[in-house]
Amino acid sequence: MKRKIVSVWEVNQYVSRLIEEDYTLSDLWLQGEVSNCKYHHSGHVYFTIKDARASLQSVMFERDARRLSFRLEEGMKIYARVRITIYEKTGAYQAYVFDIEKQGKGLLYERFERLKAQLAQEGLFDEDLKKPIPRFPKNVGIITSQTGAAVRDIIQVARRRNPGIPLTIYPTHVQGEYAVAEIVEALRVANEEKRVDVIILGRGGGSIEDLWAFNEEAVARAIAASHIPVVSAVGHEVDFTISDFVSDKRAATPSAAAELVVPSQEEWMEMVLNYKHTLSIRMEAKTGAARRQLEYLMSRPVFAKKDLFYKTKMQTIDDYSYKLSHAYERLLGVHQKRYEIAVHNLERLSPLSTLKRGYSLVSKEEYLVKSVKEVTPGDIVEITVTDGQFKAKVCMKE
Amino acid sequence: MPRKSDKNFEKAILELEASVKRLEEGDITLEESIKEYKKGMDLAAYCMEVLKKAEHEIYVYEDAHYKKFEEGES
Repeated sequence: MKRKIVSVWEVNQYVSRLIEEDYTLSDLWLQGEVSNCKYHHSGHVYFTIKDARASLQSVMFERDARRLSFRLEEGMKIYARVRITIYEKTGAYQAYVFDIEKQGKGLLYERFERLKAQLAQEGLFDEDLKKPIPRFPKNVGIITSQTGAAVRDIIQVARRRNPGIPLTIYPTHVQGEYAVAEIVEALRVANEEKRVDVIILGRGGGSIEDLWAFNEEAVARAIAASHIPVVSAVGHEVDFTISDFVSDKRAATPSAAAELVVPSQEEWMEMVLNYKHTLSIRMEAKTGAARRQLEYLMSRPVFAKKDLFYKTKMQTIDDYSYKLSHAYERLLGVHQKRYEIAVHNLERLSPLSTLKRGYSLVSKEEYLVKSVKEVTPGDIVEITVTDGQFKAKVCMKE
Repeated sequence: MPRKSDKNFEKAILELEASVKRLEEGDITLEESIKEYKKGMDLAAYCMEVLKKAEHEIYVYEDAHYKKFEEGES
């Protein structure tokens, strides 16, 4: 038998290649306990994963180790996602660890916390991204199982509150292998169709595994991408899911979501009636002042007792006209008397009456002679006496 | 199918609220007040009419179509 001689190195390399080609060994989750853990200053972590019967040398390189949200400790129970490799220098095989989840708190819890932290950091939960829920939706979309308790609860509440608002169901599985893809698709379709202006996304209560679809990243991102506001309503009061954080509003239950989204017909009618009432009150107040002013003016005597007002004025006019005519007559009498006296005086003062008493008037060329200077001897003058005239010749002046 | 009138309900409510507010502020003339009052009353009547709508329309999206949802269906 011919010997086949190879080096140790060659053997180790050969085995290494065999293992690398093995599909199963390239990605698997190991369950175990952390032991002999050393954080190297380079950031790499060297430790042993062991269970009751065996142990396995493990290494986690810095690149992967820094993504862990916790520090490995002795005795910590973990799930480690590993690839099995050969350390060619020693021929020892080891677990190359690229992810770790703690067993203690539960695998799902760890994933939940990590996704929540990641999405929060990305800003998907930011308050200013939250879209307002319409006050009076024209159509409410419901993404849930067509046969579940959630859809029944929502319909019941919606009908009680406001049968005037139409509902549109986009049916999906809410658990199991199709749930995530169907929910994502339903959100996409509802956005594309633009038939509804608000969406209730949810399901009834169940175990954390049952509710898990609402903790999946794909669902969270589909909610964040929705242009239509989404109200998340998953499980019961105590159940919080990633969907609750990323949606525009969280409702504790599907029934609560319907209460929140569907406006109460009764409340709205009351509100509209209130507005009507306010309009009337304000209008009354507005016209009140003007009306009071008008009423005051109308109540003044000139309008209210216009006959009396008129008669009073007429009486005043009569009064004045009576006084006027009296005054006129009296004035006329006075003047009459004064006229008579004047005539009498006039007669008494007339030169004619003087002539009667034996006086005469001397005039020269129609001018009365009042001085001796006005005549010269030889002038012809006219002399008037009471019963006629005669002419005389001036003989001398003294 | 949603009625055409539904489209305007929210707008009508907003306008009604604006009318109430304008009347409440009170710094408008009597003529404007009367106009606002009439407008508000008309809007309120319209809103009441929409609110009184009573038939409950429920549809389910199936195979890219909307069909009436029958309750108790599974």
